[in-house]
Amino acid sequence: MLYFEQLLINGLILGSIYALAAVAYTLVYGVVKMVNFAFGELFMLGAFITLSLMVPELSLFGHLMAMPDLSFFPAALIAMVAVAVLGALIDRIAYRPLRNAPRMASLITSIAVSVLLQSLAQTIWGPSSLSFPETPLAHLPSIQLGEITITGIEWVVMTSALLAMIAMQLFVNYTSLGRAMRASAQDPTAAYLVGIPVNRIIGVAFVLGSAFAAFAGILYAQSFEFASPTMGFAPGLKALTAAVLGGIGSIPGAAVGGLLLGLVESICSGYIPGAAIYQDALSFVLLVLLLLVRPQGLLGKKEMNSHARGSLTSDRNDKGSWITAPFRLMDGVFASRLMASNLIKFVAIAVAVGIGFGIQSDYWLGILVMVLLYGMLASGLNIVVGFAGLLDLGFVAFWAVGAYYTSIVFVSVLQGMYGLDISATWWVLYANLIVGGVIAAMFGAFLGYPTLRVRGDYLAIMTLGFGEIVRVVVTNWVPVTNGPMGIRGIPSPMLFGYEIGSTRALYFFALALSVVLLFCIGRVVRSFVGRAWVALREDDDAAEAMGIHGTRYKLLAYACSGFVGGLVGVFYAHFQQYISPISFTLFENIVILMLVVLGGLGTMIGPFVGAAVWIVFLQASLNIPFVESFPESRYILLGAMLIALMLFRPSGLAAKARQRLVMG
Amino acid sequence: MLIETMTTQRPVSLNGTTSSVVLRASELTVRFGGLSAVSNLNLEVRSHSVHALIGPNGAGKSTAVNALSGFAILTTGSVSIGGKTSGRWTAHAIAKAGLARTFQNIRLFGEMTVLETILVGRHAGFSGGLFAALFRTKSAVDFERNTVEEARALIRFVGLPSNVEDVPANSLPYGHQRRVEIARALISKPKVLLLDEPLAGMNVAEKAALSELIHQVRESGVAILLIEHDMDVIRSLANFTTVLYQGKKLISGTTNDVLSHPEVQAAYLGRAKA
Repeated sequence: MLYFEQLLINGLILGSIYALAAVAYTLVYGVVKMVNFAFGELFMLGAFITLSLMVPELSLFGHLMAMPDLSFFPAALIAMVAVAVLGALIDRIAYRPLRNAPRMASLITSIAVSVLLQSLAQTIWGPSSLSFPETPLAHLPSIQLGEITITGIEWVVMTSALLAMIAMQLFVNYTSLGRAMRASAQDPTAAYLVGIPVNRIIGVAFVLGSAFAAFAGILYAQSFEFASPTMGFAPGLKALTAAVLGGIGSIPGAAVGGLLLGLVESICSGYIPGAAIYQDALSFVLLVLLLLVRPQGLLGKKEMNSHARGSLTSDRNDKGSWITAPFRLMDGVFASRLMASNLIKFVAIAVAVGIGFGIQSDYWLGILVMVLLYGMLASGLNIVVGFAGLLDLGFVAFWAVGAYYTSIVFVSVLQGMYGLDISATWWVLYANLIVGGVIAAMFGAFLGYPTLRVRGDYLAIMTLGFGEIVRVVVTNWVPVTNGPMGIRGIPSPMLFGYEIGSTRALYFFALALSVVLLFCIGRVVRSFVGRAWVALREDDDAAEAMGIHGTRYKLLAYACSGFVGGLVGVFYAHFQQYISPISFTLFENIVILMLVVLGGLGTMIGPFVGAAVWIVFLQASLNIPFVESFPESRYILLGAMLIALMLFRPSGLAAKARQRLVMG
Repeated sequence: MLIETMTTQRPVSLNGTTSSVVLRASELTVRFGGLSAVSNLNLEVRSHSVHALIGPNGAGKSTAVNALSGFAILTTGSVSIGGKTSGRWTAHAIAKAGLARTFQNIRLFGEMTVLETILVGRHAGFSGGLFAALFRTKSAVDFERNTVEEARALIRFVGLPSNVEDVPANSLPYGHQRRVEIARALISKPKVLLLDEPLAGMNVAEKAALSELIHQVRESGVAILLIEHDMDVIRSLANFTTVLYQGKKLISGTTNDVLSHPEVQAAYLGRAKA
């Protein structure tokens, strides 16, 4: 009996923390109707700043520095204020200019902010976790309820979370500022017209939300006695789940959702054998099911499901600022008649072949293979995000499916069960490129089908949930995937008895794949299929009125994108000869998304341009001393660049290389 | 007081050609929560004719148009297009059945070129899928070639300059965007065309030119349902007129009969009740 009660307490603590962080999502969503993915990172910063203020000395940027050595309460208070100010600052700089932009812009921006903050934290505090100092809460008397003991930390977490949420609910419902917030939430334009400073009210929502996120982070860190740069990721997503579960926009909903999620997680992992390792996937499964059955949550309204209108492919935000000057330089190149001609394609292939023979350094050839690989992946994602206009944060799952499929076929089945070497069955690889692609495509359609019932922000969250489920399953399904150890000894590709093992040979292999892929995608896009995708992206109602079966074409986009992901996954496994779950994280998905945005959404060449720029920078910058000691700092730049792109030039580098949508 | 002048059921002769009913709404009711936006609307639109739907703001014209084109869910009633009847049309199925529409606020597809935009309108006419596009099947290539020719012909027909083909449609002047929208609707070879305030926001010359275009479309045999406020346009274009008031049909019949009806004159033209 005591076991159950202990699980109950654990669930309540976890739930209180989720609920607190869920208030952050709910407050901001309620007022601005945007999901701020960066709250997970503000949660983490709350913990880190508190920790830093509480110790006498700490290593920052790799240098030991003297710290204030404060006690817990002032440190926590300062941290909350600091994070609140940071939250308002983020809103002012990154989100406010995008209020009237298409939804996808602010979603991508908040993801970029999240990447930036996480990389910043890794650069400042180092990538590993730090132990959280003991707090006075540990010495509080515990409460005895019958046979159950509730420690000081536990009851403080629960009561303070409860009090904070009650205070927030009273604030929103019974103060004039709270009333102004509710008015802005209902109708920002009308609120503005009656004299409510809407932008300031939104700022207040960000300040309060960020303080709540920091508060949750501090409680989390002191309960589990650690802080790490990635600690905000899972709780952040779970808090978002909790907010959606309760009905986003509602504070009591956030409380109910958070507690429910905490309890379900704790009790399921305590009673269902083997469930503990899938604990992280559990909340996403819950989220996915919930979005399908009752997208408005338990206590919420159905409003997150709004229609898509407009895309990021126009450069209306480009007001000629100096930031976009280099981009505009590219415009002349990409808009030229030469770029639209067929000649350029042959020239590009000839140059790529020439490079393959000309470059002697294996190191650089390897980097070029990565450029092609990421270019292909980005092209696959571009089908969904760029052409069909659906934000997909679960694309890496397709990549993983292809990679694991071929690895299992070659290493576990052909080699392990039949003792067959690749030289005997080399052709299987080529079949696998197609089969792996088809499996991933079916997977895409299977996942896409329920996903398409939701739109906008929910779509992003749901694809993210699917991606995470796949990653967690791959990590924990040890008998099949070998778990976190990954699969080793995947053979290099062969062709009629010739091993394609050298980097140069692999480069040509990747180049051939890229050319075929671009040719195929080009053909599909330059037809009624591409027109249907773009029409749906720009105005899905008008597209339907033209006889376009929206669901069918969106599914087709998911399937095509899944096919490309699966196919590239097969190649990737044989190229790296080793795969493990760490290649298929959400972070990787964000990087691929960034390549598409950087290169140019909805263009053929964009994904490769983005991949070339970023991958070469990633390697070349390693010679810079600062980057050498802090490799994560490059991702600060990635985040910053993505924010700048969304603000000033959402159409990317190759914006003018617009794809013609007519055959021939 | 509800007055109904029912149009005859048998084919009637309009301008010397035989006309038949291609769009019929039967007992169409759309309710939002407790509010009935449209109730028990019966409506017939015939080929070779323009049927105008008029009424004051909030009369339910837009809801009726949305219900007829599959964008609003019917609470009760049904819509027949070219002989197919259903109470639960989806927008894309309705388009496939032969109804094309334009929107009150022009809705083009972002930066798609004029040619591409118009081609989208023909989408429902080809039944091939991904493989037809990927492998460029003969039927797909032929269809595309023919459609491009049709689109070019329509660009001329609606009176757009011929060099706009590769220009982003949303960069054209307002009047031209309207024409692109009409061409996009016409390329599907619709049985019935639904024009939602096509003349709104246009100057006198533009109105005259576009009225002439609508007239030509009518002559080609298409049934047109026209939402319009301008009485002069209705008088010159519409064969039949239905007046909506508070979601209900107030009166329906030939345009002359309807417009000369005292109640309509009182409501619409502001004269004292006769």
